Amino acid sequence: MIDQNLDCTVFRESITHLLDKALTPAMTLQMEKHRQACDPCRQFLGEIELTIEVLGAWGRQEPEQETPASLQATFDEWQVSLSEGDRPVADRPTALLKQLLAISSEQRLPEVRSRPRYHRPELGEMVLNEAATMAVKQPLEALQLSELGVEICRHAAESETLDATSAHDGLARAWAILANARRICSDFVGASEAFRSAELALRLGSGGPSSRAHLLRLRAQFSADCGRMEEAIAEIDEAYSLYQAAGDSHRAGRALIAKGTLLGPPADPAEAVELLRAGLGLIDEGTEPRIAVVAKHNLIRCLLACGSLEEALSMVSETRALHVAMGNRVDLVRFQWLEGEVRLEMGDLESAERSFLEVKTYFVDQGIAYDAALVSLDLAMVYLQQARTTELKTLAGEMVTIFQALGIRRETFAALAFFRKALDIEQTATLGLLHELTETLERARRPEDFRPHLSVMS
Amino acid sequence: MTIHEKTHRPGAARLDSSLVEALLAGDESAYGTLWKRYNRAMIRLAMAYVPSRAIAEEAAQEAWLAMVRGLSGFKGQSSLKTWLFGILLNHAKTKGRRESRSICLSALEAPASKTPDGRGVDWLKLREGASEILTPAWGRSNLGLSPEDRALGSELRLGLEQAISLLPAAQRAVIVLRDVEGWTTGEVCDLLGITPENQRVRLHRARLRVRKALESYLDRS
Repeated sequence: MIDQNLDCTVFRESITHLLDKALTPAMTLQMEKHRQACDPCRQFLGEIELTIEVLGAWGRQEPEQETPASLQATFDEWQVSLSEGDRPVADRPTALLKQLLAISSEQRLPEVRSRPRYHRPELGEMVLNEAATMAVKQPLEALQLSELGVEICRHAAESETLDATSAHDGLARAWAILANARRICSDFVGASEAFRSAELALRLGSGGPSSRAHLLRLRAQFSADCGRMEEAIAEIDEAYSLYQAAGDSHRAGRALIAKGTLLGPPADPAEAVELLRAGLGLIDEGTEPRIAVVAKHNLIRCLLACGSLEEALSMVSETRALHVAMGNRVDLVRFQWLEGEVRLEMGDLESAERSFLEVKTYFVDQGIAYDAALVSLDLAMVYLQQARTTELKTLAGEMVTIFQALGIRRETFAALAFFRKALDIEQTATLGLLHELTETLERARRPEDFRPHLSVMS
Repeated sequence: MTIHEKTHRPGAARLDSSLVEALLAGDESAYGTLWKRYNRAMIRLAMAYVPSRAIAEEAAQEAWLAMVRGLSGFKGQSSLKTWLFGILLNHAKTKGRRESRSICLSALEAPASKTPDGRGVDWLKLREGASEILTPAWGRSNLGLSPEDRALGSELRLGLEQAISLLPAAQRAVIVLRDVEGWTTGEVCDLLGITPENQRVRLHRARLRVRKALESYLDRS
């Protein structure tokens, strides 16, 4: 029975008010009574409710969309256009660096390429500093960051906010750091290309003494790695002169230590000892503690080569303590290499083998192929002295594979191949043959990479 | 009786507030979140004032850009949502006036609401259609429903879009915000500058017309 107090028109017109709970209690009661009594109006209310439900569902159903690239680019442009003071905290270089480091290394380059907000020289500088800091501890990570730093500096150079000279100065530094990172990871071809780019950028930039000295000291290490010793020495001498002229005694001392390291065994260990001592006298250990550790570490090597075994041994415990305090994994590994060599000299073959094996494993894990091959030579010395032919043959096979992959010069590879063949055919090899091989390899590359030395240029 | 009343999502204001903070701090992901949350609603609302979806999308994009540029001046006196949609309304109305000299495409089509409906309406069928729209597609397909059922869902969506497109702008804005986007009466009144009573009248008229259009759509199908 229909409630006569409320006709159907009023009921239907009041439905939205009812659903909004905007009616008086009395009216709400009348509506409810009418709803219960009137079938068509009850159905009508249900239809309105369903209409609302369908509308809501339709709203939720429309597919999600990605933010359009044009809008994203506008956000970026807006952020880039802000002055540093107005820039949101999260868009300042430190925050951008944090954001970049938080994403996976594979995503970083595409992210930087597609987003103008990252195209800032200060960010490039920070990424490169990070890379330089990591160069020794985490060479592969440092390599990736160096590539990222170059990409950022390249984009920053293309932006209108940076003058061409500053842009090229930044690029020169970036390419030099990338070149050094590639050198550390044994990518000599890539390092060579990057050094060429650095040189070109330096010519297009201000070419200031500081930038040039930076490039020279990194390239000197590369030249040495390539066996171009005279070139390396000339480069480091020029860097030393530039630093001296600028009154920068710390960096001048650093250059002397670098030169002393280059002239280490077997080139001229006696001269190297003098250079390292002079360098230690010039540097400010507080400014760069690692350099002092490097100098002392390499001094041990030179003393060992000069036959000053006692003096070398006297420095071992102090230098090891410094290494531990520095907490640099790679340096510690190289010190382990040096200690292994000391043990070998002392005839403690068991300890030497243990050290060399650990060092080799580390370099293989880190992808530092050349050094992995080089420490294998020391290990081969141990095996030969113990007449362990099977292990020696396996080791020689590994070395051939690594050297082949590196594409080192033909005569060096031939010498190694000959050594392997000698093992295969004659089932024997002599210490003399191994020494000969080592000397051949040393001619191909500076001895620093054959021994547990430390580089000041990483 | 189940009285259906949509309310603003709980916690939305709090989320807005944290988004504002993130935006002011330059957090890029906050832009994406905000865009995903509001862009569809902005386009739907803009369509109440402009003759095509493409122009509505333009208006929405302009509103986003205006928001980005004005962000440093945002004082938080209104909610971010109200501020953003307010910007949108201005852009959409301006565009609407500019485009009014052109003929709206929908004006050339026969309005569905004018289709004669002499027969009784099969609301059960609408419910079936609605269930398609209300149920995730995978759920329906798991139940072994025929392709025709799924097509009905698409047709229903088109029917809704057409019905809403034929509403007067004042009604359309209200029904989009209230029923499609789930805004509260207070939020809609704040944005459009109308009284709650006026808002309910517009909403009611709009609901009746959409219901009628759905009837017509079901008749034809």
